[in-house]
Amino acid sequence: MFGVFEGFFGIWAIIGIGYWAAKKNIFGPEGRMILNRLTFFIASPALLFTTIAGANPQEALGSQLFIAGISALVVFVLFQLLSRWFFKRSAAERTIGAMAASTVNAGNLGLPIALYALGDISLAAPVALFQMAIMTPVSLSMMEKATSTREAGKRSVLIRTLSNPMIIASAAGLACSIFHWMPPQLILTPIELLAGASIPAMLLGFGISLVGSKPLQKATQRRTEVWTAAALKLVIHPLLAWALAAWVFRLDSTGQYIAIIMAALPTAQNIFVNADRYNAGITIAKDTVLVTTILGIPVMLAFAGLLHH
Amino acid sequence: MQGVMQGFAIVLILIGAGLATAKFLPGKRQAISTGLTPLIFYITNPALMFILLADADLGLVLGVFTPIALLTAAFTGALFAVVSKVFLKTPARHLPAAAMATSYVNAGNIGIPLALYAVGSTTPAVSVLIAQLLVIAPAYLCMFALISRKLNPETQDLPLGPTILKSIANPVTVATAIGACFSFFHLKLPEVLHAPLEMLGNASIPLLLMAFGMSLYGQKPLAEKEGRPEVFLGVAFKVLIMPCVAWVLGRFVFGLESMELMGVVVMAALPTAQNVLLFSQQFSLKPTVPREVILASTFLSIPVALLATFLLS
Repeated sequence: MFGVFEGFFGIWAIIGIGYWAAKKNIFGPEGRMILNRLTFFIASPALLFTTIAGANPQEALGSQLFIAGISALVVFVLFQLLSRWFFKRSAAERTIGAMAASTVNAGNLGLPIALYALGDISLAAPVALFQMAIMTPVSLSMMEKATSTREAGKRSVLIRTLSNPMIIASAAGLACSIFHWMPPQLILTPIELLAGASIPAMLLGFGISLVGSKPLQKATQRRTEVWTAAALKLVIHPLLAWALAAWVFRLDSTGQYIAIIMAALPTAQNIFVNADRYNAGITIAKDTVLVTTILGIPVMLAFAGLLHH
Repeated sequence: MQGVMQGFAIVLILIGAGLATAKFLPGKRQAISTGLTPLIFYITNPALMFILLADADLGLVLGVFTPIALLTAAFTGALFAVVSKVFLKTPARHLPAAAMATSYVNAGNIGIPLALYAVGSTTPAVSVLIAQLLVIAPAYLCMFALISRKLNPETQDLPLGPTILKSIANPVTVATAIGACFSFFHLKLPEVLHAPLEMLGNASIPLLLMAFGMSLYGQKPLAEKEGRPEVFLGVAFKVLIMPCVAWVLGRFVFGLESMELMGVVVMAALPTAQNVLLFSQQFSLKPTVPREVILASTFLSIPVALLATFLLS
């Protein structure tokens, strides 16, 4: 219980520093872009590689992977249907909303929460792996299909997915983990050092992005959808994961706790990056990220209390 | 020996990563350095300094390593001033900035990773930092202020103390001072605060090494024609004489051996700190010699430090 609080405190402290620095205009106009690029191309791939390479493949590919996958897919489909029947949005916006409701922030919240609240950073690997290997490519190709009229898009989606540095690093890490091979210390230490820059840089970048953002504006007419996506993300998703862990996979209480916490993580920030790139569902993506990141703390503390951890 | 070389290689690989980034993203180089430099200067490096100082063994730092750092810097700077005055007839008003450039090292940036990975302890780097911030920088800045008063009579009325304090006070110095207080009074931050600070501090080392690598790209050292004799003499003092002085002092006066001796020599071989240029500009002194010595020593110091570790281990 204290671990969750401690994990979130550290996270919000660094987000706060980023927010303060951006208010003071310390980083210049391109600061957020630079931090995001630094994490996207260098630091996060390094972190994923070291995390997955050091993880036990049995663990990374075990029941937690299936729990994360099934619960995320159910929530994804649920939001797609709700958006089609009740909100009547375009295909592209439906997909962005569904991603916001089901994709967790495995990188910059999942890893520290796994470390501080669950005591082992590699516990975030299954959900990260599922999202990197299945969720992201599938939903990005859906976005590509929804927004492009050309058939040639398919090849470019595949190439873009395969050339994503995070996916390359995850695959390389998985290969190392399966074949029980580690690069020599000389190579590994610089990678580990770069990996250490990943979480702080991401959190600072998020803090910068909060400057001047006003969430839940009435004029956008997206409030109900944001709350729906947030409720799916923070309540339905973890409850589904709990049900799966307890009744389908029959895990012990620690296993159930891990499944719930990893499913209750706030929405991933890269959903906003995707919405921005396809120019669809920007409001729902940005607001859901913000709302779930704020409400994630009390929700996780409540789950921790419920399970007496 | 193997550990030392491995540590060096780690530092070089990260500097190389910065160089490669600068080479392959030429359009973004300016943007990256304007984003990365303030991040390091205002946020990650102060966190790193605090964490290092708060965990440092002040007894060892102040008892042995800080006196060596002080004597090395004072001796090197003074010797340079004498040689430059006698043989090159350098006007006295140009001497302090040039002498500072020969003996004030970049311990905070490049010194910490080298100390950590090559020497295996941050104590030598922390000691140099303390010596420079508490004694060497104020002493030189006093001289700078006095010269600047002579050259620009209108600055006569500015009080000396606050002017110097303002020059030295930056986020890194303040964090170093607070960290030293924590260490001195045996204070400990609660884990909730210590963890995020440590996270930020740990991010500093790869970032600053990459930024250092990026800053090397496309630079041409020793291109400036003006003041060549002083520049060459200053570079020679910085990269050759200062490590030798440190070795003699460490070996024969303080009786250090093996890794401790190596730490002292490697710290003396570090490139000149960017601050020297900043200080001389703040006091409107001629920046040619500091600028050129910083640039040249930045390129030369890594091979010299490598050679020193090779000879000493």
